[in-house]
Amino acid sequence: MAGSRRVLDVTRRRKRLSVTRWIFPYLFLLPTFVLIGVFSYYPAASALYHSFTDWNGITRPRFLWLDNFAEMTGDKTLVASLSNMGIVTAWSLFITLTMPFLVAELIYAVRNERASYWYRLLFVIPIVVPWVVTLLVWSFIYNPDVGLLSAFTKAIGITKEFRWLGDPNMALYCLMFIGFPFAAGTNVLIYLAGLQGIDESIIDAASLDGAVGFRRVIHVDLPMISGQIRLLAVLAIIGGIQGYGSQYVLTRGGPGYATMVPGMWLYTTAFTFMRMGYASAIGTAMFLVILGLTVATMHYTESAVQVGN
Amino acid sequence: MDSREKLGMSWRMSRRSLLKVMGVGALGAVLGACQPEAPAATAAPKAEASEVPQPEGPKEAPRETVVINIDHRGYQPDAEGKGGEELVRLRAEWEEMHPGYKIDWYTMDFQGMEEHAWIERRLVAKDGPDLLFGNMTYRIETWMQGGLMNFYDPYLDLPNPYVDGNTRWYDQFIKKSETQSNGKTAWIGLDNTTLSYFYNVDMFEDMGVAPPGGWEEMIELFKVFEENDIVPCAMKHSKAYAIWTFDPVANQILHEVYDEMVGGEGREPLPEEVAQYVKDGKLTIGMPQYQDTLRLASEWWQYAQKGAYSGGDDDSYSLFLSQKAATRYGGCWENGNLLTDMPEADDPFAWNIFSIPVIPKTLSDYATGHATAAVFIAGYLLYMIPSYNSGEKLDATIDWLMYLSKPSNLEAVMNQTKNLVPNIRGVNVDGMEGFYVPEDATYWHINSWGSPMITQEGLDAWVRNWQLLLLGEMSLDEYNDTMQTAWEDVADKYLASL
Repeated sequence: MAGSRRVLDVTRRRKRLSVTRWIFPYLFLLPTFVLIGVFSYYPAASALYHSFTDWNGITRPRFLWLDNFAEMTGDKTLVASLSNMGIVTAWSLFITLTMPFLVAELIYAVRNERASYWYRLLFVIPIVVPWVVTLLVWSFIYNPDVGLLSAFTKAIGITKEFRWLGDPNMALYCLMFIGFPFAAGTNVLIYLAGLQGIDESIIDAASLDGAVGFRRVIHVDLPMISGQIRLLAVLAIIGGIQGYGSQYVLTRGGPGYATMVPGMWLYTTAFTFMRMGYASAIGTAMFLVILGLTVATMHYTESAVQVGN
Repeated sequence: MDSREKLGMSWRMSRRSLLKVMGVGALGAVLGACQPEAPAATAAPKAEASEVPQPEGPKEAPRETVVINIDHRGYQPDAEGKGGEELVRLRAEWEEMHPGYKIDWYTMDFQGMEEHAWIERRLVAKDGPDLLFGNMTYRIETWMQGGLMNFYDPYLDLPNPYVDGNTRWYDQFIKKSETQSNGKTAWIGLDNTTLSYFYNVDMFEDMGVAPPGGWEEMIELFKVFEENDIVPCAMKHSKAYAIWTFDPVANQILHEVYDEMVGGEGREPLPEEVAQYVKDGKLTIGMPQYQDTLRLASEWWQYAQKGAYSGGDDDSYSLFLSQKAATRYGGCWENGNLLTDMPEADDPFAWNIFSIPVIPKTLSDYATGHATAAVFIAGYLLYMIPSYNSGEKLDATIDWLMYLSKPSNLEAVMNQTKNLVPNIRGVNVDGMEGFYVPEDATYWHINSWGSPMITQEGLDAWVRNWQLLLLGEMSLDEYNDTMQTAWEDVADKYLASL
């Protein structure tokens, strides 16, 4: 009798141990899930819900079904901002895929390790400068009355006076030019890491086949870092569609609507007009567009890689 | 099969099951969080709860020290404890008179948010100051409807015990606040802000010119500076400045229309009044008064610095301080900055102030021929009381405001910064007389947040389209059509929302 009780006790203890052993990892993960839920998924779900409402952020939301989405189609500012977004996104994609890759190739080609290290460092250091500071420096460069660019155009004998960010025909391009020569930052490191990850044997085999210099870049390097290219392309598209930092700091979407992008309009609608419901609808639409483009990019680049392989 | 299974005692949950359980739990939590909140209590009953204020302030010490958090931004010591000596002195006097009550300065930290959005969060969370500065009267109606505001009405008719012979506190105020849609007063202003031109006296003397006596002289003056490659009039790059230039002109030309709109009460029109006028076709973009206003205000803007339309970092102050601009159209609140910065400037110069010139009948048949004043209630001392401040704390807060509005007390505080114009009778701020409203001025309060355009949305459309007109990107006909449509749309939406 006493023996069987002992066996039962041991079994119960083992059962408890077993449950505890596999439940523990989940318990450790729980705070992370809770935090992600509260700070990432709940706001997103809340935005989704409020996109069907008329809500000013304070009073009780009024359910509108799809009225906000219908209003978006007739919102001239939003519709006009889409072309700016397209231009900015295309530009963002172009500069992300070209300049950092070029710089990474140049650094990769440097044989001296010490020199390579210093080049790498020099291209990465600008990351520590906050983006807002960069924007304010460019704001000074573009100042038509006392700025560097106007002083330069005067110095080289151009008598025409430019308003730069104050000119509706130039403002968007001025914003796109900020960050020139677009070569610094983490993008360079991502490309460089990809290039350094290419197996030496592949490079050697390619060179035996005559793929050296530019031919190697095209036929070996690019296919081998397609993962990095895909990642940066997706990030560039997302950044191009969502981004409005430069507009917020330098133009507020103006002059007129010249630099307005959907992100800036969303912000203005939410925090200036206090139309949280409508702003949520814009956000939801942007989310769907980004999701679609991301899936398409992944699919397309995956197919391209498979074809390449 | 392990020993537990052999004994038939095994109890095991698969990971899938655990995840299912967690998922159901999380769903429950989300649904719980999404439960509709209990309706917010309106401020009205709270105000009524304290409708028996103590006009002479709290007489008996409370059981526990009552701490009143006050945001006296602009007058209180800064985050490092510098400045605000007069206010600190008054606080010490008041606390000595009222044992058991303590005033703490509340420092705002907007954390990069729009100010009104941040304040809204504090009001909802009930963790903001008990007396709140917020120069944003355009949001108060919404806050009131959300039950976030308390009202001054029970107190304004009481005598101010700190002012000899005063029988009604509100009689001390030069300009009264606009009331909310429920007829109650949700904010008061102890000071005022006005706009004028700061000008470089040395530069004017060198060029042999004097401050203008009228509108045409002002334009001639601007031309002189423009020909000499000097920015005639530095303007700030903000939406507010668009309206702050348009309204002083409108004050002189559209005055009769606005005056009729408010029934001759000499106050700022309410958004609903403007909306109704727009809807009824009594206020249109095409009306000659509006077109004259637009023409003159646009002419004025032609003399602004080239970067004034960018909407980005403001360069008007630095242009004036570095003598690249001859004048700067600005607010009296910037007077203090100039007093501080001028001695440190690379090339300090003498400066003074001139008022917005009178528009003569020769420029518009509708001009009143009177001076105008761009004036707002109020400056740093525009105060609102959140609904969470009630009971004895509310009484004490009002008592502190009464103490502060004693002329000698307010004069001491305002003279320390020399930034603003007083809104309490008998107070003088030295050197600010140039900003005082002329006696014969025809004006109403300018709601810098766009009351003529009814809502923020209307204001935004108005500023952007005006920019395009000024820059020659839009013809006048195009502008008129666009703005008339936008105005009607905004008016309809606003009236429907009431």
